Amino acid sequence: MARVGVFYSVGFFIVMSAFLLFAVVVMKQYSSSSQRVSEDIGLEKIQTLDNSIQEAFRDYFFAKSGINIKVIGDDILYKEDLPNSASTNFKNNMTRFNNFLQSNFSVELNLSDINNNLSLYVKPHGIYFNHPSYGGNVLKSVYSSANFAGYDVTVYTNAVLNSASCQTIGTVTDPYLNVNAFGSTGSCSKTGITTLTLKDANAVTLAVINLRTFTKSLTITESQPITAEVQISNLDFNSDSTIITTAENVLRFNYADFNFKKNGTIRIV
Amino acid sequence: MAFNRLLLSSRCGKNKGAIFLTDAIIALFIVVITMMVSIFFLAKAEVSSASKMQANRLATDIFAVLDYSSTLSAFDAEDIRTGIDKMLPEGYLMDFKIECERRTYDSRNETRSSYAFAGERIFVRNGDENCIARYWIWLE
Repeated sequence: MARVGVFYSVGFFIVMSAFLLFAVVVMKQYSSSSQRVSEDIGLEKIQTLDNSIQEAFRDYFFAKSGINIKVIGDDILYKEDLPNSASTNFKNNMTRFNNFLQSNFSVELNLSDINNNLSLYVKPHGIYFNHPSYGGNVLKSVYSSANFAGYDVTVYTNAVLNSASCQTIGTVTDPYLNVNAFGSTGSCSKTGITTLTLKDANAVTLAVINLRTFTKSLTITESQPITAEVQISNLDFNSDSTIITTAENVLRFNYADFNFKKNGTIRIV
Repeated sequence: MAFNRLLLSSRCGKNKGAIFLTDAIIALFIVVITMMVSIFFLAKAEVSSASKMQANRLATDIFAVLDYSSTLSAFDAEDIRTGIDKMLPEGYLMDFKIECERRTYDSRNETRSSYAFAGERIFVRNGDENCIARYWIWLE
């Protein structure tokens, strides 16, 4: 009987050891699982913050920047007054918004490009709009390859125009440059050109619109206030995937608690 | 158990049954305790993770909807509460605090010691006022 007792004891000991081992494994899994859930929730918090900051930036951009940009089918439509009188207010708002972010979160905006150039990238088409000086008299659009049909530029001015107001030099068709200009009275238009100088009825230069295929850039330079509308027509790729963003590294996250750093763009459209 | 074995090996034939029974009960008791502890941790781990994740997504989605529908920027506390109540499933409760540069609203009557989840969201009011919506969710 003594042997039977030993077997019973050893048997119970093995079963108990198995359950204890099981308990230890469960506890370790629980601890590991809790840690992963905490990390996941932390990262989701940052993602929510990222999304809401981008949404807030878009609100500022469309309300204050003086720029309207949108994707319509296979076209990109960009509209801005030159010079852009809204730029000063927008820059002030961005500075205030950045101070607000820095004081409440481990987030900051890199205002360098926003204040100086306000570049907008059309992805994945390799095209961008920017300004040598945001708020100034020059607007540029640069492309990496002619993966679109051309530029349709419309200029609005308070000056009086006539049929001789659109004076052109050179021709180019890939991509093309078509210009329509509308004055307080009168209008003019040209198609397939390289350079157009817009003059009022008294031959005073209002603006120069220039497409340089060797530098792959369109430049609009005003001498008198105008509203420029640039349409990039017939993009090659599927327009559903077209997005418009700010320059790289505009939005910076630095959460040491999660060992998380991120430099990203802000999606505008 | 060593004690039991010692007893079994000794001359106590009359009490063998009682010793077996005691040994079995003690061993069973320990096994049951061990199992209960194991099951407790297992259940706690699953429920805790799932409910936290669920609460996290729920609260985040509700405030995203309120933001995109401009309910937050309108800064009407009653509208925000109505919006939350419409979307919040039974069994959950939420509080929120809206802090704008010129105005603040706090729905909390008391500060709770623990929440399933606390989150925050930035929005712009009237095109120029920076705001933070903070929200807390917990199981009823």
